[in-house]
Amino acid sequence: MSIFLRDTPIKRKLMAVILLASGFALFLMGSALITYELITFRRSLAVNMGVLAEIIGSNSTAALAFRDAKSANEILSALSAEHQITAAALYDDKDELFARFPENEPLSSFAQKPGRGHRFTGSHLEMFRPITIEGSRIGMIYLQADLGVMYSRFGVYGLLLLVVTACAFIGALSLTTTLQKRITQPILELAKVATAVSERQDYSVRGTRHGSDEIGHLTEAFNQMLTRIGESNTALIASEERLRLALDNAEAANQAKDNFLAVLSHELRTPLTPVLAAVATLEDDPRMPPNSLEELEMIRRNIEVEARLIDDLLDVTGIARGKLALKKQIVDVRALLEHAMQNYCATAAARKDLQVSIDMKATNAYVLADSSRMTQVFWNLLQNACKFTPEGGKIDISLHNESCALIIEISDTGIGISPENMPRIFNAFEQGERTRTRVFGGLGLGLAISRAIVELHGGTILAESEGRDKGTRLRICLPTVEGATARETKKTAPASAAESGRHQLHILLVEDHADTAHQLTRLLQRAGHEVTWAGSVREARDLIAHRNAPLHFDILISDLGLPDGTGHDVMRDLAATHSIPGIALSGYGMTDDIRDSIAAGFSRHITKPVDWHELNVAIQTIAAGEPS
Amino acid sequence: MALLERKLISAVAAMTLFTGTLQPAPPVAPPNEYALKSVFLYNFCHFIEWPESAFNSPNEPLIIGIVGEDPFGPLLKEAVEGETYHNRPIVIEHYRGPRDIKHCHLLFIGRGEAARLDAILEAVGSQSVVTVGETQDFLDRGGMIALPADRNRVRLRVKPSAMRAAKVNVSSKLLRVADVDS
Repeated sequence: MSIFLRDTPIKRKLMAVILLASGFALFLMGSALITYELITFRRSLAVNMGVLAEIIGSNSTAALAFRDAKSANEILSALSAEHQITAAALYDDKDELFARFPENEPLSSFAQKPGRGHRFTGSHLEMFRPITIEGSRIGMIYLQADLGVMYSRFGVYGLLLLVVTACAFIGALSLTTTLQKRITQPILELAKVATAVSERQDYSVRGTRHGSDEIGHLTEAFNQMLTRIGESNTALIASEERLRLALDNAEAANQAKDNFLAVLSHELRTPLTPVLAAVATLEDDPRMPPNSLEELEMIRRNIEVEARLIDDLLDVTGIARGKLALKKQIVDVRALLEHAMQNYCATAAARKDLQVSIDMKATNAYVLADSSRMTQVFWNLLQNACKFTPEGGKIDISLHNESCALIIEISDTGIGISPENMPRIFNAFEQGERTRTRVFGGLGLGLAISRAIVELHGGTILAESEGRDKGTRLRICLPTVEGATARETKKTAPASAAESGRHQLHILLVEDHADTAHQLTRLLQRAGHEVTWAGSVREARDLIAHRNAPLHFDILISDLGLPDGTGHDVMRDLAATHSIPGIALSGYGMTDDIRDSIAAGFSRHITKPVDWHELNVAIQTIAAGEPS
Repeated sequence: MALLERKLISAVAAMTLFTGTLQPAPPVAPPNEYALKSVFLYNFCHFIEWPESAFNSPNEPLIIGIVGEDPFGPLLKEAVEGETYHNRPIVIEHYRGPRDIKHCHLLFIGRGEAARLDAILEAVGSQSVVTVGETQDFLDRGGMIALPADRNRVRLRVKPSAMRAAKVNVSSKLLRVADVDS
């Protein structure tokens, strides 16, 4: 019942319950009645038949005693008045059939010998009774009564029962139809209220209470619940509002911080560019005395370190905001690693007398990567290795393949990492212990940035150390590219390529910072290029528009922050008439900035302070007709 | 009971003989006629009520008298052996002639006593004695129950008026199965 009524409305359930209950009661009552009637009827029939048998038997004593079959038959024939009796017979004391009724009934339809007592066959009651005189049995009487009367009576009973049941069902149905509303109506109303609440989020509506039955209690409880929900909802909305405000504030503060960092780094870097350019010029000047050259190199190295610190700071903000842009191409990690070693590690290693060994066992060192970012990772790791390894120590670099991955391992014999610091070394601004920060310097951003970059490349980085002063092993795992050839990756050997193929180019330099423009012009001219300088968008436009041929610019190098516009405007103007490539210079190195530059038509976006090597490589690759 | 059955068996056997159609009618009634008659005599006790005055004491037996020649032999004695009439034992007495007749309740007068019938009936008088005869004219001559052998069967003829005169009640059941002479 629970299954077949599960999804039916309560209305139907009530009906079904009432009908089933009344039907069951009626069935039971009818059955009891019929059973009682059956038993009573049979009993009374047996009694009546017994009485009849007694009377007939008593009347037949003389006929039996004096062997008067004719008289006996006459006596039996009186039974024709009793319609229920269908057959009767007398047996003498020898149990021989003596007389029978009806007389024309064949002998064979009577029992050969009399039985005892009475029994009900399918359609008849058969009864045998002894006939006695003075306690002596002188014969038997047999009576057969038709039960048809009984059956017809039960037919009437059944019909009556059916009619009563039908009437009861109709009555129950009509009663249920009216009464069930008292139960279902409040429930439906309550459901309507619940729907209204959930649809309109209106917790002020209340269910109407109709009485103090279970549904009344339910309504009461429901209303109380609504009150509670309404209260807590109000509180929730209020606290949500507070949270949202706090979040907005936090986001605004974060935005402000990022902006501050960006502006700060721009402002910190801008002065570095001319200084670097000037130092480079001086270093290149053959008239410089050797002791001054050493000092110049020291100046340049420190400015570069400072620039790198600022860059790291910017990168961390970028990583935190998910704005680290990658320009992926197939690169040969071996070249990147060698380049990083030569440029960033060789000098430091030599100074501390570190023994550096490279073991390039890898057969496939090609990965899909942003070469400058990957170089940054290697630079960070090598710099750390140099920094944390005491004099006379060893640095081992090894490359090998593991299934579809390239494993780069950089191990040193340095100060190692204690187990308790291991979980934190990849967190930004954490550098093991604070004491180390004082001893070794730096902001502690290198590993955090490196991990972010490696993970953006789909790789993993992990550090291993046996403990303090037991050395450190950093292990980078990068997915390799199958089937890459040396030709495709030739361009990833940047330094060497820049050195070899030089092109004479006519460069339009747009830069409002006079010192920077001056230094860059000198550097570019020394590299063999012809440079035309414009200090603003207007000047640049004039140069493009009024230049009386046949000279044209091979390349545009433009600062983005100009007094009367941006470098983007210059690039767009130029691109409209000439199809020439451009390099954007900017103190802003965020993803959005780079995307905007590319959208404006620049081929490259170089972040200030301008690394001369980087700029030179960019110029060379663009000139060679290969967009980087 | 067993005794009664035996009696009835012999009676039925006699009856079968008498009623058998293939059996040629014997000129003289066979001895089995009396087997049946002895049962009839005993059965009369059940359908006749004697007045209390007919008995001298509460435990006086019911007396069946046979006057003159006894045609039953041991049959009647066997028929009534152990039977009772209203808790009274049934006994058989023999009387040589009318003068010997003593106090009895049922008196059988054989065929051979036809000549002395009047004297016998006179001897009985108005006492409550049921007289049973065998001849066709027994009732006409003042008897109460006649058992004439007729066409291979024993008939039963009753004269209730004579029985009433003797203050003897006869059961309607008996009358029903008998030929009644008014």
